[in-house]
Amino acid sequence: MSCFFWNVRGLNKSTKHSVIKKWVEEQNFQFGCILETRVQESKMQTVGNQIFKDWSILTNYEHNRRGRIWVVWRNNTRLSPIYKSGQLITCSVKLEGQEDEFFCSFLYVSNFASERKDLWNDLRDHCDSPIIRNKPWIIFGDFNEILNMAEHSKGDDTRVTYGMREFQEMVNYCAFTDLSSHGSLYTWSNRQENDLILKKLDRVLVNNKWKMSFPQSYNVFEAGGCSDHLRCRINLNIDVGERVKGKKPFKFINAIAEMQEFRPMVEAYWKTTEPVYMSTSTMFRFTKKLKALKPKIRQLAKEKMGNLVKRTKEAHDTLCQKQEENLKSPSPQAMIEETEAHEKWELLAEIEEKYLKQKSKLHWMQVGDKNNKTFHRAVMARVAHNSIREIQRQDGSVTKKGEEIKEEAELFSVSFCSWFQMTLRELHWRNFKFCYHLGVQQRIEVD
Amino acid sequence: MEPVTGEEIKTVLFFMSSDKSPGPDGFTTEFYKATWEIIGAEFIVAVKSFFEKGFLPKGVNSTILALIPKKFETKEMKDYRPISCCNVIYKVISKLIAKRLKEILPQFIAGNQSAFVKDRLLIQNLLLATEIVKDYHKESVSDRCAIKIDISKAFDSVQWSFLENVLHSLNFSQEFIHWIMLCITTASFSVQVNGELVGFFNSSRGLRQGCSLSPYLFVIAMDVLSKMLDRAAGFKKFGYHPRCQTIGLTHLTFADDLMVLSDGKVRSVEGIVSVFDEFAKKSGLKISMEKSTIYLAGSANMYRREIEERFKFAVGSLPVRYLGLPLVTKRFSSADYRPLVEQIKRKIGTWTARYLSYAGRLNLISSVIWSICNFWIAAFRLPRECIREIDKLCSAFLWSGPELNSKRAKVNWEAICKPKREGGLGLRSLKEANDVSCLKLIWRWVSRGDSLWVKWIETYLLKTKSFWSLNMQYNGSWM
Repeated sequence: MSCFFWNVRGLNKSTKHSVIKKWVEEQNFQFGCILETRVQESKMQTVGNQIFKDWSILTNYEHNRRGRIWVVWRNNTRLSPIYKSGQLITCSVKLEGQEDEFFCSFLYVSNFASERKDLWNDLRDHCDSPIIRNKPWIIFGDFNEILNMAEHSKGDDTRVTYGMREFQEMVNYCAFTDLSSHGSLYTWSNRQENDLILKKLDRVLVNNKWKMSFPQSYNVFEAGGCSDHLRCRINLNIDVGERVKGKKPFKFINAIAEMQEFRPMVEAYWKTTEPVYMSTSTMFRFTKKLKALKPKIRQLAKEKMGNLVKRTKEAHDTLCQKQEENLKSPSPQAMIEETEAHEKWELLAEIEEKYLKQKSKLHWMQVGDKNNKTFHRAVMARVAHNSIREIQRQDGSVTKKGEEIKEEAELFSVSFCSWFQMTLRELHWRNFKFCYHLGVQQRIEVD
Repeated sequence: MEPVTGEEIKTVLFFMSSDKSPGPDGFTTEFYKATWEIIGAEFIVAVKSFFEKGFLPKGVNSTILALIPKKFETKEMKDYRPISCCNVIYKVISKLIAKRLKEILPQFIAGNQSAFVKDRLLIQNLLLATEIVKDYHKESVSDRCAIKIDISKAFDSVQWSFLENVLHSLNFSQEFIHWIMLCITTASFSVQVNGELVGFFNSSRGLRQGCSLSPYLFVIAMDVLSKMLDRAAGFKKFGYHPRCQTIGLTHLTFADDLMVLSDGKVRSVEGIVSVFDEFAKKSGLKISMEKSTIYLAGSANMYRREIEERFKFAVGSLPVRYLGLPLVTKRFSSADYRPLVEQIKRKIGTWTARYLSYAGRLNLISSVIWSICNFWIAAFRLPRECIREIDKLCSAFLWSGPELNSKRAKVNWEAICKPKREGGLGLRSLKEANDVSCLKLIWRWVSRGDSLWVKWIETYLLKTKSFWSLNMQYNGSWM
């Protein structure tokens, strides 16, 4: 499942038609949008049919004569517009075979400050509206503005323009974040040979709900040739959600050490093993003993840590129930039960927080402030940021398959680590040693 | 060299952070700490056996290469930075060696290198660089140039044989060299891709980023370059930068960040490049000309064309960021501290900050934001407006979260900056911290520390006078 957008800078030339057509067929997009077509409304049908045969097209000619935004989608996708302006088309999208719909806004942001302000306000209203608020929402297109100076090839990091600040404020208000992205940072160039400027004008932003619903989604900016903007494809990666997992490598979860059962278990095991003594194989035997301990820890973790979040919630529910009972019909027995439930919940909650903290890698945070939500998001963001979903191989081809990515990684690292020019080993060593000592002497003289 | 004791092993282990990612065996530091009473004794025996028997099994020294995306662009494998995660046992061993290495390092590493050497500060490099480029914007100054050098893949391309030779010529004991070489040559790697491990292979060059020995060994390798540069200048292969001959200053280094200073003549640049070529042949460390920049001043600009054509250096212009801080030629202006404010805003604006509780936000300010500020404070006297702006940002963030509403503050900022027992929240006042760090620098002069910066100040600023009789008109670094 994937979609696209591209600021094509005019779609009147037939050469561009074939480029887009080929791309769309190759990538098998479900929907997408073409920006800045400059096609007249009367010609829209013919041009549209030529590139997107049997697709549906939605435009905003009524707000803008030049055909700024064309939204296109295949028949098996259901797309219904809910808002339109000269710079924005918002639709609800329901993909084939998917239960839930999501919202998608296609943008072509104006160059004029006042018009832009209207758009930012529209997006704020979107964000507050009850229809969109709790749904996954993705917005993409040509923003004609950058978020910070790092997105400008000549940016000096010292200047923040008024336009950027307004953009930042909108993004902050709606709690948008960039979708994880592969490919080049800059998406546009001014094509001036003697004063080249590159900027990231196009981007894909998503709300928090989107990140939860489509954690594996990502976008790629790639060169399309016939425009000064790069084209973008967005892969929702819905089907990859349940990746076939091999056995995960063992990792010690720090929170296990807090468990009552942990230390007696280790102690009991250690007593059954032969103590190590000093010899050349000490280290080897010591690590072997540790290795045999792994399955036992794994087992304990599975029993006690599995479904931690769910169990913490259950423990909390039981506690609430007991508390209510105790208030309705107080008795010493009920009081004891409540206290027990409370202790159980507290223990679980503590372990949960510690576990999440280790996973989130927010080392500066202190456990105990109950920042679980932050830890949760941090874990998710880390996974999204660090996972490799597609890679361009050394021969230039692109792969998305997990196995092939692994192969490429191995190949690359092996070649990276080896050094064939061993001939240099016997470099003129005598000569060098001489230099070195002379260097020291020279220094003393200068001093 | 002192023998390794059980007590020392324990201290090293317990000093390590519990939250770090484990190596391929999956055991974190926390595991060893939690079970110390049970397995501690044998852990000590195992570590000691390395030092006594000089043997390291392959399994212990295996390493995970975790791939971390570099900045924004990730397209090919080279856009990912491999970071190594070593096993805890190995980490303890390498820390023990590193500890011994660290102690003797200041004795022979040239003063130009300020990274990883005890009692040398990054700030001093920056201050010295500021002193040097201070007149670069004037046209009337004599010829001079500074070249910022980028060493390509610095850590990964050090040759082991070179390192071994250097260690020998530094007269380290045979045993000690054997330990070090054992640590770096027996390493084997697995790559971690999306949480799964693939491959198992050996390396034949380079130092691992993430092994505690690497920085020190790297500094030792770079020291050879330092001495080669000094020697070349002594032999007049290239000319000294104005005002640098007296103290024999030819370059500044911070780890792999190198700035070479010269008189801006074409012949000198040629001399410098030839030194680098020679060094590359010996050590495997190559400089990438394309990523290096040269800054010219005075009439050296006349040679600009020629230098560009012959050496592929990019010709840059000041001000520029050096070691993450602005290198300014004039007075510190509001544009110079803008990156600091923007950086803080970015930290506050991330979604991480969005879901923090009140206590969590305080935590973010006191640890993350304050440490960013500290870095700047140590080097500059921040203008009053800058401090005021940062205080305002922090206050708004503390009270209202990422929406930064400055009207929600209920207690004034000065009160919050008081220590906890006086009713504040124990944050440090930026202004006071700034004053303290300035005094610290003055203390460095007065106590006559042995660094190049102090030498420079003594030669050119203090001359024979005392600190109190200084002419305040002088506007050099940080004043």
